[in-house]
Order: sequence, then C-alpha cells, then structure tokens
Amino acid sequence: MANFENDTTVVQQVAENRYDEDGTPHVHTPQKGFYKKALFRIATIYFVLLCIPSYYNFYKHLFCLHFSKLTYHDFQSVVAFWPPQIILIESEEGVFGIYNYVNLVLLFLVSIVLGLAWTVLARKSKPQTDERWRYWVNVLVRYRLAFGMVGWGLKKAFPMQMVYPTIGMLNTPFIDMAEKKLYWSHVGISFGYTIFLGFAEILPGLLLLNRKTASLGGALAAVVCFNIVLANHAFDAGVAVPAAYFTLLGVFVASYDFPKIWRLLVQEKDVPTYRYKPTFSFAWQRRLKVVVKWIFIILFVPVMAGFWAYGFFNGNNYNIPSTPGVKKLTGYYNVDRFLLNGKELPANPLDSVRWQYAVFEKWSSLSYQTNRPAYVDRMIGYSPLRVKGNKNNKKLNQVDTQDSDELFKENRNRDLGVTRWEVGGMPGSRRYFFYETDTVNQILQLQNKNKLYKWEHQVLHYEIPRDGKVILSGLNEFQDSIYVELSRVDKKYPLVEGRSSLQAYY
Amino acid sequence: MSETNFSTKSQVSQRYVLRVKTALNAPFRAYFPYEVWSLPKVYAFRFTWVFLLYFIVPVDWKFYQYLFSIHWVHLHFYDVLVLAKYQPEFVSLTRADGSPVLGWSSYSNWLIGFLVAVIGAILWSIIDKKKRTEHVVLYQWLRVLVRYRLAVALFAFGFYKLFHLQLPYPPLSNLLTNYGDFYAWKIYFQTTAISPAYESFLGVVEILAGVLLLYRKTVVFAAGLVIGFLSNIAVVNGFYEVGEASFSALLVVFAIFLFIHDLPRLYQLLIREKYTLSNKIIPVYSTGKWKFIKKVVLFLVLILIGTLGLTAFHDGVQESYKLPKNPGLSDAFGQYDVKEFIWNGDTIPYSKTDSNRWQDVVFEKWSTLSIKVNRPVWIDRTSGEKYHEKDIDRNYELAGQAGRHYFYYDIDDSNHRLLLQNKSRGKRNEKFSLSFSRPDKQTILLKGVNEKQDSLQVVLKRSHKGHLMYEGRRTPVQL
Repeated sequence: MANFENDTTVVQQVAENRYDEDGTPHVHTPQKGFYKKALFRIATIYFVLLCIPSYYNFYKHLFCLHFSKLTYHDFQSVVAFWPPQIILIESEEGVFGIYNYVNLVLLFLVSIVLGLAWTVLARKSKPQTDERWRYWVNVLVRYRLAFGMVGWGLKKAFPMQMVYPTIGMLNTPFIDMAEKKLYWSHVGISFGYTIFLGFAEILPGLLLLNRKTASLGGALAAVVCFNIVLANHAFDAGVAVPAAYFTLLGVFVASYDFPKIWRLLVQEKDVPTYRYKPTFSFAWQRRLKVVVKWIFIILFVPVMAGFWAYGFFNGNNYNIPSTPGVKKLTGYYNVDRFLLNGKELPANPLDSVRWQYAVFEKWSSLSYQTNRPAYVDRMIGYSPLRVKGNKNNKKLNQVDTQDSDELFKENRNRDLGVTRWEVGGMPGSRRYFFYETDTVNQILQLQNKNKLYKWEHQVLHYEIPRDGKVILSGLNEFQDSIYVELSRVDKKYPLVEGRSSLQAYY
Repeated sequence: MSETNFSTKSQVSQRYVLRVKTALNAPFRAYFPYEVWSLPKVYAFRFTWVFLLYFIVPVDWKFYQYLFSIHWVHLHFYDVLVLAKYQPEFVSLTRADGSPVLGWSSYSNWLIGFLVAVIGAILWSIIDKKKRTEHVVLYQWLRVLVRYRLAVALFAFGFYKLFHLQLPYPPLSNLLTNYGDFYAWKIYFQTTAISPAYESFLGVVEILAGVLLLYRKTVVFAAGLVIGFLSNIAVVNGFYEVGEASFSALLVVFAIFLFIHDLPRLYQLLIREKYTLSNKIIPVYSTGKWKFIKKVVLFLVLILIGTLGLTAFHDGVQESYKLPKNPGLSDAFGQYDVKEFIWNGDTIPYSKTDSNRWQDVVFEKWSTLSIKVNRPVWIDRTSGEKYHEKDIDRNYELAGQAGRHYFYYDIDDSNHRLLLQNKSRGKRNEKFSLSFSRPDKQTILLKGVNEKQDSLQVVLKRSHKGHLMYEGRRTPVQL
C-alpha cells in the first residue's frame, strides 16, 4: 500500500509551492467567465432559497410554541420543514407526488432570473467574494441538512415511526394493508433494524456538522435519501419530494470537495492543500460564531434526542396508544356465540353484523371483523394519505387530525388522536374501538377509532367466567343489544417465534 | 526415484516459479525498488492474503462437483448463481431440513479461514528467508483478484433482482395469508417484491457497482457503494433471518479491503487538509504476452457477465423458477368463498374453528390450489430458492408461511378431475382426487374422497372483495 503521505518532506515542499506538475499555480480559484459566474450564482441563490422555510405555518408554529410543553413534534416541525411550495398539484400520490417536483423546478427558474441579475449587477466583484459566498452557503446547507437528517433518524432510533405489528395486524391478510403500511411494517417487525436505519440517517447528519467530514456526510445523506425517494414512490409513502430535496442538499454539500476527490482518485493527480476559511477581524465575531454554532448543535442534537427519548419512554409514542387496556382481556378471540337483539346469528363471513373474530390489544383497543365496508381511515403514522382531486374534503383527507400532540398537551386523552396506527391503512370492515374501562362495574365505554365514524359509541359489559372466556353484552354502535361469547386462542405466530424456533406446526 | 532425477525436477519447478514471478512483476517493473513496509504491515498483509484467497480460490470440492453436474446445454441462471455465490463450506450452511444455518454459527467457515490465515502467515514468515520488506506486487494482484471476484457476485445478484427472480411477485395465496403467519424473512421479501420497479432498481445499483469495479480508477466508488448497500443487506440478513448473512458480509469485507487502499489518501485530503499525493503505481501491460492475457481475461469476464445477464433475462421472461410453471385450471385464478361444505354427508356451516371446514380457497395462475382451514400447517423452513424441475418441488410459495395448505394438482380433462397432492415435503402422501364442474364462471363444484377416505362436496364461489393493497391508493374507498 502506497504511503506517500507519510513522506513529509516531499509533501511540504510541493505544498508550499502550490504548483501543479505542469507549472501552473493551483489555487482553488473561483469561477471565471460570465457563464461560469452566472451558473455559480444561480446555484447559490437556489440553495439559499431551498434552506429558508417559506410557508406561513412554519412561523406560526415557531412563534406559538409553549416552551413549558415542548415535545419532540415541535423539534421535528422545525428541522423537517418542506422545500418552498409555489403551486400545489395533487397527483395519484397526493401532495408530495410526482407533480410536486415542479416546485423544485420553478424555484430554479426564479434562481436563474435572480442569479443573472446578480451577475450583471455585480460584474466587477472580486473573485474572492464568490468564494466567500460558496463557503457560507455550504455552511447553511450542511447545517440545515444535518439537523434534518438527525431529526428523521431519531424517529427510528427511538422506534416510533415504524412499530411492531399489533395483534390485530398479525391477524390481517397481507393484501388488506395499504402499501405504505406494508413498507413501514416490514421495517417495524425488526426493532434492531429500525434502530440501524435510524443511525443510517443520524450518522450522515453528525458527519455534516464538521467541515472536514461534511463531504462524506453529504454523499451518505444523498445516497440514503435517494433510496427514500424511490421507496416513497414505490410504496406510496407520501414524502418523496422532501426526501428528494434532502438528496439535492446532500449532493450540493458533497460537490464542495468532489472536484478534488475526482482529481486525486480518478485523474490520479496530486492535490495541493488549499481550502478557503473565513477570516474574522474581530474577537467578538469569532466568539459569536462559536456561540451560534454550539447553540444550534446542542439544541438540535442532544436536546432534540432527549425529547425523543422522553416521548418514547413516557407514553408519547405517536403510533401506539398509551391508555392501558384491561390486562386480562388481551388476546385474539374466536366468537363462539353472537346474539343480536336476543336472536342467535350463525358464523358467516358474509354477515355484516356478526363478528368473525375479536382482538383486545395490550392498550385499550377492541377490534373485530365483520362484512360491513366502511371508509378507510387514511392516517398512517402521522401523515394521512390524502384523497386525490378533492383537497377541500377535509373529512376524507383528515388534514386536521394530526392532533395527538395537542391532546397530549391539553392533558386530554391522546389515544383518539393520531395514534391510530392500528387503524390507518386497514380495511374499514375491521372495526377498531377505543374504550374507557369502569373496572368496578366491568363496563367498557367504546368509541370508534376511525375518525370518519367517531360518533359511533358502544357500551358493553364484560365478564370473564373463566380464564380464556369473555362474555360481552350491551348496546352496540347501532343501538342494538348484543351478546357475544368469546374464547381466546393462544396462537403462536411464526413472525413472533422466529425462523430459529424449532416449532414445526403453527 | 534417483536423486539426480529429483533435483532436475526441482530445478524445473524452480525455473517455472521464477518465470511466473517475473511475469507477475512485469507490469510493475517501472516502480522498482518499491517502498519499504513496516513489519506489522508485512505480517498483516500475509494474513489478509491467505484469508481472502481462502474465500476466492475454490478450495471446496463441492464447487467442482456442482460445476461438473451442470447441464450446459440447458443452462439455468440458478446454476451460474450457485457458482457466483461460492464460498467455502467445510461446515455446511444448510441444515438437514434444507433451511439455512442462522446467526453467528453461519460464520463458522470464517473461523476456519481465520485459523488457516494465521497459520499461513506464520509459516510464510518462517519460510521467508530473504526477509522481504514489502509485498507490493502481490498486493496489486490480490486487488485485481478481489475486484473481479466481487464484480462477479454483484453482477449475479444484480441480475437476480433486475429480472425479479430473487423476489418474485407474491402469489395470491401468500397475499391472502395473515401478516403474523410469515417468518420475518418472507415478509421482507414479499414487501420488496410488491414493487417490481423498486426491486429492479436495487438490482441496477449492484450492477452499477459491478461495472465500476471493472475499471481500476473507479474501484473506490464501487467499494463505497458496496459497503453502503451490502452492509445494509448483511444487517437485514441478520435481523430478518434471511440466511445469506455470511455471504453478504463477505462481499462487504472484499469492499472494505478495496476501499482501504485509498483511505489514507482521502484522510490526508479531507481531514488533515494537506497536500495529497495520488496513487503512483499504475500497472503497465505493455509486453505482448500481457496484452494478450488482459484481452483473454476481459473476454472471459464479459462472457461470464453476459451469461449471467442472458440466463437471468431468459428465466425472468420465461419462468420465474421459484414459482411453478404449468398453467392451472383455465379462468379459475382467484379467491373463492367456500359457500357450502358437505363432509361425509353432513353440511358443516362456516367455521373458523372446525378442523375440517374449508374457510377459503385460492386457485393460482399455475397448478397450485391453497386452502385455509383450521388445521396446523407444517412450516417449510427453507428459503424455497432452489431450482426444481417439477412444479410440486417448487416450494417458494409455501416456504416461510403457516397460513394455508398448498396442493399441487394435475388436471384430468377427460374425466373433469383434479388430482391433488400436498406440496409440503412431509405430507406428500396426502393424495386425492376431486371431480370438478363449473356451472358458471363464478362457481366451482368439487366432489370426491380425500386422503382419509372422507367424502367431500364443496361449492366454491368467486370472491369479489376489493383489497386495500390494490384499491386504496388515493380514492375514497370503502372496504
């Protein structure tokens, strides 16, 4: 292995001269010529514009923060802001579908106009000015990207974005879930892999914080985010364009050192040492720089991580409800008998009232399958899959149902908010109910978790005659009296047991 | 054997070794004398050299056994794939039931390689009488070997995905299986497979890395790409118990070895920010002999890549060999509700608990019928990835799931009978035949006696239920 870099004398000599082999002085020269200058300025403006939050809600949220009630969501909405949205064309993939790229293009057109104007107006500017611009824009982009990556990564490092399937999901056919749900779940089934993916985003973020490792971080972020772009298109997961935006930023940061790397590794030529560093004339400037830098880093890395950790360990997982259910009820049940207004209904998968099976989760959730189609609740992990061509239909689009955090802050029960991961992206014929328990009288007050049917209430009395048997009786959501006998199935799942398990039959 | 004879023989072999040595040195002659390495570096290199060669040179006789058992006239992609993913298996990586060895024990052959490399490095250092201070030329050749070995594996796995052979689109029976009834690996495979375009993209990434490896100057980019891409696959293999953990990790090791070459340079450039010298050792294949050898090697590599690509393309278009190929009952593909079920003369109503009552039935496009019934399913713990000629042996559809019972069937058209046989390896003796009639396109009537001599009479009605995976994209759908 060649170890020329250890030969310090040679290195020193050539370095001080800063000359190429062919005798030309090799300084990291800013671009000369009108076109190159213009191109550079267009890019500069484009990336500056990309890194400035440009929609009203961002500032509204920022200035209305309750500092005594901060949660990780507040941090996330600061670091994960969208690229500028000039026009909104909804497509098959919703807001951030394929047509949304037009915003990145339009912004570029704006940058061309501004960039050309700048070039014409500032024709006599010194080349060093451009170099300074390049440096500071790079600083802006890499910190913006770094905090964004760390924020995205923390969702997975504290596995909340992708969670382990609920008992209900374990008993739902693969085909009955939306693609986004399938994509998120296939990550969520492995706790370890979810954390690994989290660090695949956090690591580039951390590398971006240091000037010397920023190119590597930028390249990694670009690769990771490009994969996210494609996965979002492939599985209709809804954030393709924000991921594409991060990819662009990553490419921009990596491009800072790329010419040098290309020269060194592909052209196999020596690279002189030269890197622009800003000079500060006054001590207060240097101090200010250090203070600003570290305030941002501390706020958006350790503090933000702390908030995610706090949320994760203290019952504010945005996909999983936090109200505990009746412990003895948890499990998957067969329906032995079902009486509607005193009349027995036989088992029938085509019946629209009779339950086919029932599930009690660990948290307060009862779900059961009937043959009664209903509108699908589209909330899958904090963002609803909006309905196409109907953006004013707030009810179907569920735009204002990202409310678990608000409910949490108001000390109201958050489980009817966004935390309905078990419901979203699943067929409506499977009905999911939140319940409050009166343990003294053994009564469950139930409410449909599907936001489109939130007025549906049931009041059911429960009785556990012996372990594994449950009798529910009361009024269902249609004010009919029902009587249901359930018996628990102690099911073993291959997914839970794992491939190493020697169990041969399931 | 006389002593003189022996010495001439050894002289001949010595001369031969010398000629090889001279030939190997030739492309690097311009750089002689080479830089001096530190002693630990020399030892580390000897270890690395033996360790990597242990994985690259086929030392496992099973490789040749497979090589000579291939029908070259009817060459299948699977045959080339087996060769391309060769790694020594002195400790078998397949259990008796055909399932892969999982967890850390799948690295047992690495332990052997490690021991061989330690012993090899020690012996080498003892035998080395000239006290060599560098192995520049050997190092360069090792890089060449590793590059081509890695490239072949990447092309193989790239084409494997590009033409959807590795992760075929899930059969309807699999789609209608409950999420919890799969092993994790199957869920991972199936989820990726529902987006064929995405799977192809993953294949293209591997092929791209393979192409970059063929050019010396782009090796570092390929190595970076492979480290990122395949360490993800290796981690997936670990967490999802996929069963190819040690091979994917091996490819990462190859890539790390290649990347280390440029690491000090990049460190100097980016971290220390000092004047950085480029690689100075550039092989020159100027002599006639080397020009010829280089052409031959390139030609062979292109032939190999071409074979991989063409066979994969052919298999991908013709038959996705993990899935059965014979067409099933015509116009029968779909999910069926079991409307009536008469068992030994008794009508059994719908039931999720009865161990005989069928709950629903799927006819695949090919000759597979799957039944959901409340009877324990024997789980096939293999990966179902092997090439099998006969449909009944093609087990990808039942591998790693325990939600449904799978039957292979032959159609006896003249008597309107289906000759069914359980596809599970342990249940092949479950054979029975049912007569079928189709009063209309939506209904199939089955009648006959099953393997336990119970009489069966079944009315199947095609189900027209919509499914969220297909319908729920962005329309206000009621399901």
